[in-house]
Amino acid sequence: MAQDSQRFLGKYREIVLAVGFFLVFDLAVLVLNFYTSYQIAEDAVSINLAGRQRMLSQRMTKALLTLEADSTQGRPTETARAELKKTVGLFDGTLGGFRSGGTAVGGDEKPVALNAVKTDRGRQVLDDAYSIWVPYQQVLEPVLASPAVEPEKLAAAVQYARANNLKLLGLMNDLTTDIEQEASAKAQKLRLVQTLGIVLALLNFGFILFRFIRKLQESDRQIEQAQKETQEILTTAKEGLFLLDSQRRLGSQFSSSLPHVLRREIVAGAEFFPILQQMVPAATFDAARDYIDLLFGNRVKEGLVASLNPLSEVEVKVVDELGSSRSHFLAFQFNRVVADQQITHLLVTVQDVTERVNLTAQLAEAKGQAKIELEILLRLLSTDQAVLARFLGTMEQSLKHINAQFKSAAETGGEDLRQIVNHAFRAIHALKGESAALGLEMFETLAHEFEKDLVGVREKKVIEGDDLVKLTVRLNEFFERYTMVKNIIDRIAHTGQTSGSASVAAQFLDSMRKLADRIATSQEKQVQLSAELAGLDKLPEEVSGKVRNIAFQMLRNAITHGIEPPQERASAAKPAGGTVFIACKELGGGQFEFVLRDDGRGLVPERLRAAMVKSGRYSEAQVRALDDQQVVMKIFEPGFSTATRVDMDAGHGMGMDVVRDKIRALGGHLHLTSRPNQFTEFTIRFASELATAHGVA
Amino acid sequence: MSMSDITEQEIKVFLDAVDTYFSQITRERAAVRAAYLADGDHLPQTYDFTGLIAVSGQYRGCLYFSAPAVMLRHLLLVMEEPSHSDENFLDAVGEIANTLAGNSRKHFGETMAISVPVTMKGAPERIKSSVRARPYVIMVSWKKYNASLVVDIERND
Repeated sequence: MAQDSQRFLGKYREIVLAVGFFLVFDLAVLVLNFYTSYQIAEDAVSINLAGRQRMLSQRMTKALLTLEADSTQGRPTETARAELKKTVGLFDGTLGGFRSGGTAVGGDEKPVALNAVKTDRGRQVLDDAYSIWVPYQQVLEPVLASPAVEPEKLAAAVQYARANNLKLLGLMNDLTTDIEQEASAKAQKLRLVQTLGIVLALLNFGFILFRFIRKLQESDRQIEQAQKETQEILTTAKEGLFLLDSQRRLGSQFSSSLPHVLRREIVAGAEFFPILQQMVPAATFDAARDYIDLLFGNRVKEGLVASLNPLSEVEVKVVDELGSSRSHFLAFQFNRVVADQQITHLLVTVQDVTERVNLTAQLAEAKGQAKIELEILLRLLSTDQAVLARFLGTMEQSLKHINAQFKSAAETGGEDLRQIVNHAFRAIHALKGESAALGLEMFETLAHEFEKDLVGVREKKVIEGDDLVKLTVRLNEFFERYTMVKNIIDRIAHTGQTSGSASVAAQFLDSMRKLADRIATSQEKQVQLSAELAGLDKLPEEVSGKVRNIAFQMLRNAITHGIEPPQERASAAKPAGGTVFIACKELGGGQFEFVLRDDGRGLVPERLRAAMVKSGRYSEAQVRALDDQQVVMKIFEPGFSTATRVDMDAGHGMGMDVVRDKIRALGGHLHLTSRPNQFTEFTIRFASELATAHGVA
Repeated sequence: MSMSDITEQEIKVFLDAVDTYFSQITRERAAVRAAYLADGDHLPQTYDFTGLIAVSGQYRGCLYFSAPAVMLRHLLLVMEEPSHSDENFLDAVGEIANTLAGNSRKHFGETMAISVPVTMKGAPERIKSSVRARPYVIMVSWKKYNASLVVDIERND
């Protein structure tokens, strides 16, 4: 309160001072009025008495003459003498009063105070009067002294009176005039001062009025300006701004953008919680209510609990006029408004951060993308460029072939979609194998994902055109990654960093070793690879590629299905590490032979039969009806697998049918020999020139 | 390949629009026969009449439905429309393009700005080149006829 009054004085000091001055001037004028009226009263007494002197001078002469007449005619003279005595006494007392101040007898016989005359002319008149009055008094003295007056002395007095009566009257008249003039001058002066005082007071009043109105206008203007600025802030701010009172109601003013940001109608003074409840999930709403309660409580520091704000980034679902629901991200910020150490309101700032959230997500995605690209680049740099180029060529062809089949299904109709899906599966599976062999994880994972979708579709009873949409999206994904890698390879090729020195056979062996290592490690097996691949370098690229493709698939199968885990091998008295031997030999006459042999568990017809029954595709009776050779040949059918688990390398029941396809495409013949628990050997004979017509078994 | 590319779900939004149109107008669904990737360098399969919408905003490219005259004639019959002029055929593909626009607006909201439908007779010469390297072509069949829906839309990164 002390502070308030100080501020009050500070703000209104000028006006308080001005009003003080106004009062002082008024008081001064009032005092002056008192003084003036007192002076006027005094002057009136003086004028009155001066006038009486005039009259007394005549009464005195008249009394003297009456005395003389009475004395001459022998009449009693007492009355006249008494009159004379009285008038002389009054005249003398009053004259003395005029000369040196003092008390005189007033009109009502009461004493009055009389001021000495101070003007020069008045003094002169008084001196002149005295020069007449003193001898007059002397000649009157014997007359007044005794009742038996001597006639000579009376005659002398009468004579003096006759001689000076008019002079004395004249002087008293002058005195009256002088006092009157003096009083008039004084009154004039006082009036002037009074007028001046009133003028000053009025000026002061005018000043107060002027200053006060100016001040009021100024503060009105400031208030108006402040309101205008507030309004401008509220209409311009992109954020939703509003105050929340302790009753959790919205304030009377909020930013114009608030309804837009919240995407709903907002009414001033509305309750906040019902609005919030419509926007956020129940759990978030409860947390937000607790948080707001916490902020209104005085116990916690705002800064400390800011991180608890459950609405700092909240997804809000809004149903638009078309009835579809859309998501927005809003960020609410709550700040306490404190007055007199009490939390009166919360200032709530709401921002639509949808764009920021989206950008953050995009940024994260871009970072992920960049990481993938970097990984690809590093991997590509460490892979032999010639091998890579061959691989990409194969991939492009495979993808285009898949797409061509999709297209023909779309255009001609009536195609067996299952057959198309199976074909796509084989192609993608083969690509997966080759990617793995080259250690190109980015293709391997992609192929694996594609494969999973293909399996999903293949397992359906009826495959519909709709299913192809999903597969086409996958195909597109594969194409795009192919294009990206192809572009990188081309850029690298242009910068002249190709190696390409190693022979096809050497590169191939290297890839096979890598693949063998990876599969063996993932299946906790041990495998050694030995090879004689001189023939491979003599094959044309197209044929060589097909052979390599077959080799990858066979190697995968050999390790997955043929080579046993170390314990199993130990119990069969075999070394813990299995061996896979591969060879490519020229037989002469344009004929070649490819051999892949593993020292694993061999193809055991009984085990294959069990797997066939387990797959549910064959009944016990059907299986029994097949001879051992027919059973073994089932491994080349789509969907056949003896693997008990599904992973990147096996279990999708695909692999050997790819091999069969490739052998057909190569125009080759397959020879299979196996002995249980000893070995399995695949031998493929083929010509170095590709047969123009495919489809030879 | 990038995750911001249009997804299968987004393609389904367009397919649903076509299906909705046929289901509501003819009480017979439009089935997806198959899908494939067109070669971006060549115009994808189109038929006699095409209704197209172009998109912008966070996406770019276009979306069009192309159908043979014979299918549209049958459609008009089902709709009990007596006149079978080119005008009517164009109106029909325009109406399908409109349904595509409506469904897209509903699904993509502000993120996708959609043009008014444009209709064309014959090979759509106005489609000079595609946005995607390989636009999606989805073959749709209604009764015994084939029509194509081409999705040549890319997300702006």
